[in-house]
Amino acid sequence: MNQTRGDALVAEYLDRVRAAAAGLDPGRREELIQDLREHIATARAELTTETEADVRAILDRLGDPTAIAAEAAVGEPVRPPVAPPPPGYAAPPKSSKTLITVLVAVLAVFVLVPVALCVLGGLGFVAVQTTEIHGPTEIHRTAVEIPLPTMRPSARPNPQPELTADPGQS
Amino acid sequence: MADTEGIAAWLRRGTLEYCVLALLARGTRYGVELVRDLAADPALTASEGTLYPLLSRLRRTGWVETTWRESPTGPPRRYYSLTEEGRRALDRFRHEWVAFRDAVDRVMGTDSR
Repeated sequence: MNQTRGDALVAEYLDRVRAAAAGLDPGRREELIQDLREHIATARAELTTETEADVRAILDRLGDPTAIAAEAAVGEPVRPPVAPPPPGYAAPPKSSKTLITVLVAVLAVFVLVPVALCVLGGLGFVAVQTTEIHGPTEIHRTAVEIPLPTMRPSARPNPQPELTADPGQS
Repeated sequence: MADTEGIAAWLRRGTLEYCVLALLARGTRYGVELVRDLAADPALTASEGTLYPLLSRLRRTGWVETTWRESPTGPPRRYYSLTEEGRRALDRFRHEWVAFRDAVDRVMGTDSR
């Protein structure tokens, strides 16, 4: 009689916890549900006679499913010497890393290289010659090191002579 | 987060798990007992249920362990006890806590009553 009504209340409560904890790792979520289920079963077994109000009181003391789920989502306990990174701080998936790499490569080829060539072109034939000899890696490095004259023509006159001389010496 | 419950929640974070360890240092308890003892003081916890995720973390950390025992009434109960590592963690916390509490009290002007 009351037993079935109590069971229904418990099932409904655990469903609310399960829904609130939907974002949790499934293993963690089931562990949490199991802990709460055990708690409820033990607390109910301690009652001499169970009424619906008793079951409600047990569930009320357990508290708001949302609050329980929120607590379950908190990271590992604070262990100052070797704190493991919380789950939220996992490394980005490989695909986005690859995307970033591709973007950087595209930037390097389509922006840095032409800019570098322009800069070097402005310095004269010798500079272009040496750049061509040294290949793409050198071009990239040179492009980073040489300030862009087109951006701030007044602030940055011609690059220092060492930069043009450098590739030739090495 | 400026409300009272928000402040309490922040203060509990990082402290409550050591309160669990301290209770268990006095002897093993089963889940319902442990959770009720802690939740009896509303300053310590928001509700009984929020303690289970914390107990789960302590199990995974290896600071507490559980054993099943038959119960005179109803289903078997899961008893929680402190591991040696948990005891060391509790000792470290006690040491840090006293220094921390004293320092905060000095700054807050709450050290004399």
